[in-house]
Amino acid sequence: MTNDEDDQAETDLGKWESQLRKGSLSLAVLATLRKGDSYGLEILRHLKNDASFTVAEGTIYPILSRLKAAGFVDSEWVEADAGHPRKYFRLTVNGRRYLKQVSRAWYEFARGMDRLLAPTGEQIHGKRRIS
Amino acid sequence: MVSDAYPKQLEQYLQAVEGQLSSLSNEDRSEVIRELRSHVWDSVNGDFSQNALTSALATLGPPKQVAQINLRMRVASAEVNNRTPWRAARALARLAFLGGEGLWVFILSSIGYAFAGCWLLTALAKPFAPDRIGLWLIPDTQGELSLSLGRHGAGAVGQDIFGWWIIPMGLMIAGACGVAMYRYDVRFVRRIANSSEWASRPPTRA
Repeated sequence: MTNDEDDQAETDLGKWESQLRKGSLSLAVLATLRKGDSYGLEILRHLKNDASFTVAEGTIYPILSRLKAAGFVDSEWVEADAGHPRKYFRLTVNGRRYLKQVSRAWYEFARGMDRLLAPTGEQIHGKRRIS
Repeated sequence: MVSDAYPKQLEQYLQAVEGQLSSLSNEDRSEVIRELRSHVWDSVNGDFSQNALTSALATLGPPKQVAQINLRMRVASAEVNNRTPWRAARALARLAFLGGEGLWVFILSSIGYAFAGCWLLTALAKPFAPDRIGLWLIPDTQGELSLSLGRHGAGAVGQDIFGWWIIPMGLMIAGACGVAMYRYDVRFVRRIANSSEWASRPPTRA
């Protein structure tokens, strides 16, 4: 492969990964709230540490606002120990149900992809690959 | 140590964001500002030095970008679950003021609704002036033909193509075009509401 082809492949991979992350962002945000109430910065840190999701900080509140408008998330201002008010977000009953449904769909999809992407040398259409 | 610049720099930033949010309601606007202030306080985590604050604000992104994202998302999110044609058109009109694509979709949609309106009016007016309302095929002075929908001048040359059929046809075309435009508007608003394309991008530096 030439350098240009390498660069192109890297760009394509980057775009693909980016699309995958964009598509899963709402699910990831909802998943961070599964264990309990959380606030903006804590959600961002969970996303980064647990799933390597780097979300532009100024965008987390519009996402949460969208999820709230959809009825999946509720919020409440709390005078936190930190000495300033914090807005805590929590899953609603609808949000929990939606998360469960989407998670199930995600695992089914991922299992299918795992089968398709099984390492080479596996059985393919009932025949052994030779290469 | 608390820097003197701390409240000033933060409040200037928040004012710059707030200045861009004029098309949001007062309630939404103060909610955005409150969220951002709380976020910066969490980010600096007790370190109120100017460096820490500058870094926290830079990570948040330039005020204009933060405001634009909030505007687009909040406007679209508020309307997306309320799918009446009026709410879809209102959301689109508000989005038209916020960015190039919204304006483009708004113009296209307006043209579409105007086209549907012309057919509807023609169909409704036909019974009141059957000889002068219709879809007309009109020859010009050089013999070329052109189409004209609506009212035709008394005594002018031209052929009414559909006659009374203009009523069902006009209603059908107006209905189909109106529904198509409504669906187009709703799809656009929903796409903006669900858009995450900017979310995983690092903020551009001011």
